[in-house]
Amino acid sequence: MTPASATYHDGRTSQARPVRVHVEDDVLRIEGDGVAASYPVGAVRLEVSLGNLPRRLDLPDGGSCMVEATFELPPRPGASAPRVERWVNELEMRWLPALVAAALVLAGLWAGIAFGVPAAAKVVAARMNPAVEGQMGRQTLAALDRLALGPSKMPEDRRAYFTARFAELVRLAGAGDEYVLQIRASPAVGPNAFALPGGTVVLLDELVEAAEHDDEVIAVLAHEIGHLRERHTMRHVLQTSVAGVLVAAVVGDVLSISSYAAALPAFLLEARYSRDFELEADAFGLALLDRAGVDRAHFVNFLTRLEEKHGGDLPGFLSTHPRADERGRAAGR
Amino acid sequence: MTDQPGEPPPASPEEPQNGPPPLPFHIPAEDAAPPPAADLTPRAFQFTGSAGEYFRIWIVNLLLSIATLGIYSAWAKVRRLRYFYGHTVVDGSTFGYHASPIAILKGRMIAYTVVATLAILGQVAPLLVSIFYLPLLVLMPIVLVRAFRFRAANSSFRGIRFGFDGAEPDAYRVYLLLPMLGVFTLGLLYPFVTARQREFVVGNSRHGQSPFALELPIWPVYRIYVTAALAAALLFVLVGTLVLGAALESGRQELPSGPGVVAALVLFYAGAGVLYVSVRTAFENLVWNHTTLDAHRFDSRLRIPAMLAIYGSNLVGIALTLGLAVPWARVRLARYRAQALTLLPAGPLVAEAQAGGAEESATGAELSDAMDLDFGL
Repeated sequence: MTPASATYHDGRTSQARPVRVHVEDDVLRIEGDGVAASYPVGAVRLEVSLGNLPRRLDLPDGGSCMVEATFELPPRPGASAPRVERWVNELEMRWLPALVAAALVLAGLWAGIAFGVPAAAKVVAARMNPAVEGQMGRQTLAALDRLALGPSKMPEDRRAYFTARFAELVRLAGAGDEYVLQIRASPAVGPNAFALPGGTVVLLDELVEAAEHDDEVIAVLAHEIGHLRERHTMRHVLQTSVAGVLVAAVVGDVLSISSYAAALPAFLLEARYSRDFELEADAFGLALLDRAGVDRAHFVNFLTRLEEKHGGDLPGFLSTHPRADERGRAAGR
Repeated sequence: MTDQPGEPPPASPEEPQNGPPPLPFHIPAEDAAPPPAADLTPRAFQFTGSAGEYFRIWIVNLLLSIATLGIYSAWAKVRRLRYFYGHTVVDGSTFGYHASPIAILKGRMIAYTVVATLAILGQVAPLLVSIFYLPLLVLMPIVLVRAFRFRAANSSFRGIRFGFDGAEPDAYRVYLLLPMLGVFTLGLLYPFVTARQREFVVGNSRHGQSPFALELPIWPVYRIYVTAALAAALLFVLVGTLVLGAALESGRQELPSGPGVVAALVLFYAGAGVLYVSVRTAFENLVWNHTTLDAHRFDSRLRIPAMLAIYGSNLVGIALTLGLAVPWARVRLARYRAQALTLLPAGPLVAEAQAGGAEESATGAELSDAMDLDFGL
């Protein structure tokens, strides 16, 4: 082996000395600029290569040599090279494996986020203790009551009517008496109804006022029961947490404003998951309406009317709810 | 959790030594001629990595990390830091990173378990989760000290390891006690606390036996934060006006929506980003310009507009390429930061290892209780 040029550090002072390094008969010799030393090759350790960075050759006495990236110790029988890292380095040096890796990473990330995470969340949510969700739901309702909701101004008999129809739907859906309807009023929120984890559906006076037919309200309640039966809140929490971690692991840390860089993908993800849940709840709700003998048309009519009146001008991918026309198509009209 | 590639050891370079002549080699050594007069020319830092090369390294390691469900990420981290340290050059030499991937893996497993548990608890029982943060808060200074120690002890320049000697009581003072006092002063103490924390980190670092020192003058620190606070107030007024306008337009009955709100959101995020980068940049310059290593000094001339341009274009590039531009983003940031930094020698650039050269084995003991952690402070 011909001598290779290197820079020697004795490990005691930071002085750098130009030297020549060569190996002969399993002995590594270092010579030059006031240095003359030799070590058995078995006692030195050469850093695995990384791109075209110079490699560090650690010497048993604490000294070290920086050698060229291409420098290699002669292979010795019985010595185990760090094979994996060497293989990784081979891959890193060429473009083809890198491009293949890029394609695999993007495909894997997409598949994981679109299918893997939701499927896993469904399985996990189904096994979680419902009491946990009950707790979440109570906390949320208490917070909403404090911040945004007021008592319902509907007459007593109307409230009793919707409560009874709700109970009927719950029975048809095969759910238990943990499902409760809460009626509130909130001009700020507007015509809406929502499902809270654990089994509470909140119906707002404003939604009833916006309906032209009581069955339109019933159709919305069936949809909300769909959210509860499918455990959407828990799945949503699980999915966005896991997917967020995935995205942050890939894109994160870049600018050390990880939360910032990950905010957009996380937002889009959240919207996507949310739309999927809406469609799932639609399907469940429509099937429930069929069983209850309520015309499906009420659901689509009501959605279309609400959308016309209250906008829905965000493009689909930004929105947390699918557009009414999409949902109408899905409802088979 | 993040770390900052491209930022070499908490501080970097080299030393002088007017002291005793180098210890006699146990290797035969014809010793030095009379020491030449010290060369005091400023030494510019430089980053020599390339985006293309780092892209290949990054993507291959990322794929392996995903395929091994994150286990390989510890090895990937070592390769990433070796790349960034190894391509950071000053006075003709580069930095070395020596951490064992296994140690990093252990630290990561602990950290991710804690974070995941808290994230889930936070969603499930938002009111209870604060209780779980308490022990975490109390342990934090110890964890930080260990992480600083780990990072320093695993970094080297010219065969000499860096070190971190910060004591835990001091860490409690600057990371727990002072911030708590800061709460009572409504944040007025915040710049002071930030300065003390940085002094703790830099001032307890050393390269071999050569100590780093940092004494931040308090008024320039306050000037950075007061300027930022004024700009933030202006931002709030603008955003508030937009939201109010949108609310009036859409009527009182509903939550405001529409283009006004979108514009307000965009303005808010962009403004917050600009403020964040500006404060960081100004502070980084200030810190470097008051840091000494033995008697050597540093000169950092990061320009805020240039940093904003880099961060902004990085963000756009990353978004447009679905994240594939991450390596390019890291490399250009590292390049600019290195290029803005200069070492101003006050004498010969020579450092001596601690404890007569047995550095490696001496640090072995402390490494066993050091823990690696990525944190985005």
